[in-house]
Amino acid sequence: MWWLGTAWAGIALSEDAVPGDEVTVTLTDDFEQPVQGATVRVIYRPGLTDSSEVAVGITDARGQVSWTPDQAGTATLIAGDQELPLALPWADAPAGSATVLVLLVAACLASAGYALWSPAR
Amino acid sequence: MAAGLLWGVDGLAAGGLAPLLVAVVVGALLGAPLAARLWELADREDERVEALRVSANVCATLVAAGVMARVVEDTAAGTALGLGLLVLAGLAPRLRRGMAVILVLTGVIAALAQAPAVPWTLLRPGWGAWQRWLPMAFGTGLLLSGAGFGAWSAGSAAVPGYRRGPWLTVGLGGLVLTGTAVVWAQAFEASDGVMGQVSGPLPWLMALAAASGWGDREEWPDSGHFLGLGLAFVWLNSALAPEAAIFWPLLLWLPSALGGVLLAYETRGAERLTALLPGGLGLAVLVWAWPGFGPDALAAVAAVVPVLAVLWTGGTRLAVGRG
Repeated sequence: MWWLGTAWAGIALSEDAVPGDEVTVTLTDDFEQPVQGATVRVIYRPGLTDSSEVAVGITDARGQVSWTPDQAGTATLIAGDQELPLALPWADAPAGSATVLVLLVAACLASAGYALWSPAR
Repeated sequence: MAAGLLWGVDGLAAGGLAPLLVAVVVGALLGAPLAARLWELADREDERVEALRVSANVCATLVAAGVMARVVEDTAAGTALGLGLLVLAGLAPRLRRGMAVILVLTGVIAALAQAPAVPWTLLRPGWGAWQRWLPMAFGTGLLLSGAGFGAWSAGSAAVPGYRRGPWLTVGLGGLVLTGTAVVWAQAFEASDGVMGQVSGPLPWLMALAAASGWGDREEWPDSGHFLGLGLAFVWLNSALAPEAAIFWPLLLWLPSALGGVLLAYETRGAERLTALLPGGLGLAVLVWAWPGFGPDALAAVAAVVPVLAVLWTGGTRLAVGRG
């Protein structure tokens, strides 16, 4: 459980968030009482060029709202001025990123190999 | 200390692995051929070659000062690592290639071993944000090959010592940058997306190139080099430091452009075009992805004046040589 900020006591998750699995977000105040009617948002990849913001929902009388993460990687849950940074685990390597990584290593090895295997002094 | 930041987490945040891939491709296909041809000219007594040496040495001094600025800013561990690498850099021209390969691969494997799982958040290629990273990626590629730094500028001896050395530095330097990127991305993910303020290995690679240029001299550089280094260091640590986004791409492009011009004098036909390609493309990249001067006019002037001075110095020498 994470507790952050001052206006509200914190944002808590029922369990570790995993993409595709529903979790319950609970918002409580300084007296650990549930906060009703608060809008909860999530920013995926915060601070990066392709970050995206999605509305999660509004908390009910128990200060709770359901959330099913749909992206892996870093994210930040936001409710009012409360923030909860998260790292949603990767189930599989993203194809585009893995391809670029393989190409990058291959290009490096090819360049070094060209220099080493046929040296022309 | 904007001028000290050459390649760090910010570069990954802007484009993920995309800038690194572009840098390696530019280095291998454009920078390395140019550097190899310039290597062949290194020992020639020629005003035009001398023009390139002077220009590249000015750039080298500024880059080395930028590295020193990073040492001051970094942590104690970073400082120790940097100083150790600088010592190694002095020995680099004398290292056997096989030993260099083993050192780099060992470092990369050790770095990757620290990452329990590949962290993809920071590595995702950001092709759409190309304007934010293309100038630095292009400059990095030229730097890795030596073409963006003037590795041929040692004077009395050709550096790095054999013709295909530029391709080796592109490959091994690219591996170092890739391994570092993965480690950074792991730290980024483990801290739930908190961006670290650490500099990359690029400054150290540049220091390696600078020290390599000095290392093969029969004599130590004269006191003017060290005076210039000290003054540049003070400048890059001051409030008058230039904007990094403008300064370093311009500076890294200059030796390539001048080298291309030099080779264009020496060659004819298609080879002349090939010689001018890196500099011309570098200029095009700067125009297409120009980051702007920013709100601080003084910092913008500080970035442009040294570049103009290098161009003027090289240009006048070229004119004298041509005459």
